[in-house]
Formats: sequence, C-alpha cells, structure tokens
Amino acid sequence: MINQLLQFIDRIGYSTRQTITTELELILFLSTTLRRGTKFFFQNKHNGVIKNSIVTQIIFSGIDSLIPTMLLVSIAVGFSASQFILTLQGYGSEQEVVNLLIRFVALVLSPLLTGIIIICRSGSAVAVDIGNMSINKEIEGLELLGIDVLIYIAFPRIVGIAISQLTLAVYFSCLSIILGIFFSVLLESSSNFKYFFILIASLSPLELLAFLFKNILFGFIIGANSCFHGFRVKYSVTEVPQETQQAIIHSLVAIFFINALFAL
Amino acid sequence: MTDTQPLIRTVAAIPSDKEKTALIPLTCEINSASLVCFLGQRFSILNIYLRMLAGLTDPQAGEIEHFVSEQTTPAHSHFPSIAYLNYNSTLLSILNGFENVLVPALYHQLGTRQEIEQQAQTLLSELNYNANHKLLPTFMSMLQRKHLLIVRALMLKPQILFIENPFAGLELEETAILGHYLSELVKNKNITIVTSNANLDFVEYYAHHIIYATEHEFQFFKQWQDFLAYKQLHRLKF
Repeated sequence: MINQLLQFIDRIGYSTRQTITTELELILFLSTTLRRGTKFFFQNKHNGVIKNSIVTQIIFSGIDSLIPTMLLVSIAVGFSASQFILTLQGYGSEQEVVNLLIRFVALVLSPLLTGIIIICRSGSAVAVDIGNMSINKEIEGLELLGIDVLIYIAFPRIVGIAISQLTLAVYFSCLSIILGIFFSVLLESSSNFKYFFILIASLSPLELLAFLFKNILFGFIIGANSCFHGFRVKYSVTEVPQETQQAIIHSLVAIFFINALFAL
Repeated sequence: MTDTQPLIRTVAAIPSDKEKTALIPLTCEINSASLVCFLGQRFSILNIYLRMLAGLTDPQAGEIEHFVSEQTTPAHSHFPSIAYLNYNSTLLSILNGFENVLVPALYHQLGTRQEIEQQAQTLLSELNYNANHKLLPTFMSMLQRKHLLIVRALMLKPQILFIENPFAGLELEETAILGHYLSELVKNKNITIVTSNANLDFVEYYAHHIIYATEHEFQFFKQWQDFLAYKQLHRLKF
C-alpha cells in the first residue's frame, strides 16, 4: 500500500518535473529565436530571404484562412452575439449591453477562437512541416551550410503566426460584433443600429493595448510550440504525429491559461 | 597529385564517436585542388573520419589543423570555406530546385538577389544542367537532386567539398556523369573534393589520393596501380 502510494507520488513528481522542464525549454527556445531573429533582421539590409518567409507564413496562416474558416466562425459568433443583445437589452442599459458585448465577444472570445483556429490550422501544419524536414535531414543540410535554422526556419514562422493571430483577431472581433448588431436589427428592430455609435465610444485605449498584447503573445506561443515540437522530431516518422499532438495540446493549454490570466 | 599547400593536416587523429566504435588514428594531409577518396569495408566509419576532417566533430585524440580561410559575410555570420554534404542530404522540400540553390547565398547575403541568381545560373550552365530546375525536389531524379545539392554548396565558394558516398542511389550512367562533373570541379575551380565511396571506376579515373582504411591502419596510395596491387595482394573485395 505504502509502496503504491510512493509510486503514485513518484509518477506525479516525474510528470511535473517533465512538464516544467519542457515549458522552460520552450521559453528558452522562444527567447533565443526572437533574439537571434530580430538581430539578424534589423542588422542586415538585404534580409529578403527572411521577409519572404514571413510573408509566406502570413499568407498561409492569415489570408488563406480568412474566407473559409474565419468568415464562417464570425457569422456563427455574430449570430450568438445578436441573441446576446436581444436577451440582455431587457435587463440593462444600452451602455451595459455594449460593454458586455465588447468585453465578452471582442476581448475574450475573439482572441481565444482565433487562437484555436490558428492552432488547428497552422500550428499543426508547421509542426508536421518541420518534423518532416528533420526526418528528411533537410534541417541538417541547412545547418551544414552555416544557416541558423532558428533564424531561417523558426523566426519567420513565429512572427508570421503572431501577425496573423493579431490581424485575424481584429477582423474576427469587428466582424462578429458588426454581424451581431446587424442580425439583431434583422430579428428585432432597426433601432438596434444605435449600438454601432455607442460601440465606438466604449472602447478604452488600455483595453485595446491589452487586446494587442494578448494576441501577439498568443501568436508567439502558438508559433513557438509548433516549431519547438517540430524540431524535437529526430529519428522516426512516428514521432511526427506525436509531436504535432503535443504542440496542439501545449498551445491550447497555454492560450487558455493566458486568457484566464488576462480575465483576472 | 598536385604538390601544393595542405588545407588540412592531421596527426594521429581519432574522431570522437557516439557509438564508441574502435577507431584507428589518421595521419594525413589534404592538399588543395585534389580529389581524395576514402575507401574501406565500413562506410559508416569513413564518414566519421570525414566529419572530423571537416571540423564538424572534434578528435578524441591526436591533432587536426585547418588551413582554410574563414569567410565573414555581411550577415555577420562566420563559416569556414568547407562545405559538407551528408550521405542523406536533401534539398528543402518546400522550395523549388532553383530557390534551393539560392538559399545559402541569400541567407549569408553574398550579393544582391540578381547577382546571386546570376551566379547560380552560371554554375548550372557549367554543369550543363538542362532539366527544369523550377520543379520541387520530389519531382526530380536522384542525379538532378545531387547536382543541385553540390551547386547549392558551391554557392558559398568553398575551398573544400566533403561528400559522403556521392554515388549512392545512382545508375551507372548517372554515376559516370556525376564523377566527371566532380573531376571538372577540381580541375577548373581548384576545389578540393574529399569523398567516401565504393565506386572503383571513379577512384581509378579521377582520384589523386586514395586512403584505404583497414582494420588496424590507414593505407595511402597516390596511384591507382599501387592500390590495385595492394587489393590483389590482400584479396580485398568491394
């Protein structure tokens, strides 16, 4: 009995130590990549090769997912927001309805849903992509040519995902709220257009800054997790799905945790 | 063998090895503009020596000296004028063949994009490369990929090019084409090429130096005939 209890405590201790080690490695990976990448990017005039990679990543993560995925989710959230408006306006003032709409839909729900979409769509793809490159020795080939893979492979992906997360979250927030008000007009009365005017006056600069910071942080964490787990693939193709799964789970846990911290 | 200054000199150097294989000391000089072939019964061991000579791993015993210049690029990176191609080196699968060739020079900022493209075109034309280099590597033949890998390495203007088993996976005719190309590089560009391989035709026609690893020591041959005599005497099989 005591042995089993000790084994149980041992297992908990081991997994806790592993989790802490992995998270510390991830933080080190992200800080090293950003430090080296920004130094390379700003010290060199002809940094086209990095710029092109960042743009490619933004096209893949941001623009390609704009129409099919983000638009559909925005419509669905917009419809929910309209129900939110119609229900709440019976209980509070117009200002309170708008405040709740901004806090809940724009500042909490939009970054979170955008993050989840980016994790599923781009984060997993990046982890698979880098994992396969590692298996095929493409990464080693670059290193042998004196290329820092943190700068050439990881940095553009992390920055590209962060920019995509921020722009998609802005797009998603605006569209969801606009569609929410629009649907509430369709479902009830054209007088609900008044919410548009109250909306603009209700945004505080501090909240906008927090929104900006949270989304960039989400982007960095998603990008770093994807690259970090991709680079951990070393020997076998069976590691690719395992590491991809780890990248997705770690990214999800991290953004839920940060979202909770910001909500406090 | 051209009698020029050495680019690498080793004295009783034993490479460090993760597998803890029993390795023998190597004392040799690699001279400029020469084609050196490492031969032996066990390829994996030859590649361990190649990696040590290229400076990728440190020797666990003995000494190794490099006399190649170090390049400092506008990208503030330093790299020695040594290029190394792995046995299983591959091109980046996400870029087409031509972009792959440009990557190292663009990264190290060895010129404007136009200049680098021009340099790549020149190297490809010297190679008589007629295939479509705008394809992704997966749609290319093994020979095309090997050619582009070598050209990609040459974009950094190395003094020495190490190639692990360059003819692996090639047909006989392709082996002859690649072998001829490597020998032309040595002749026309004064590049030193060090390979580990078992293609005796290539060794016979082009090698300036043959280094053969036996169980207990390295044997050095400057002429094919000497190696052939040794091979017959010891009944070596390849």
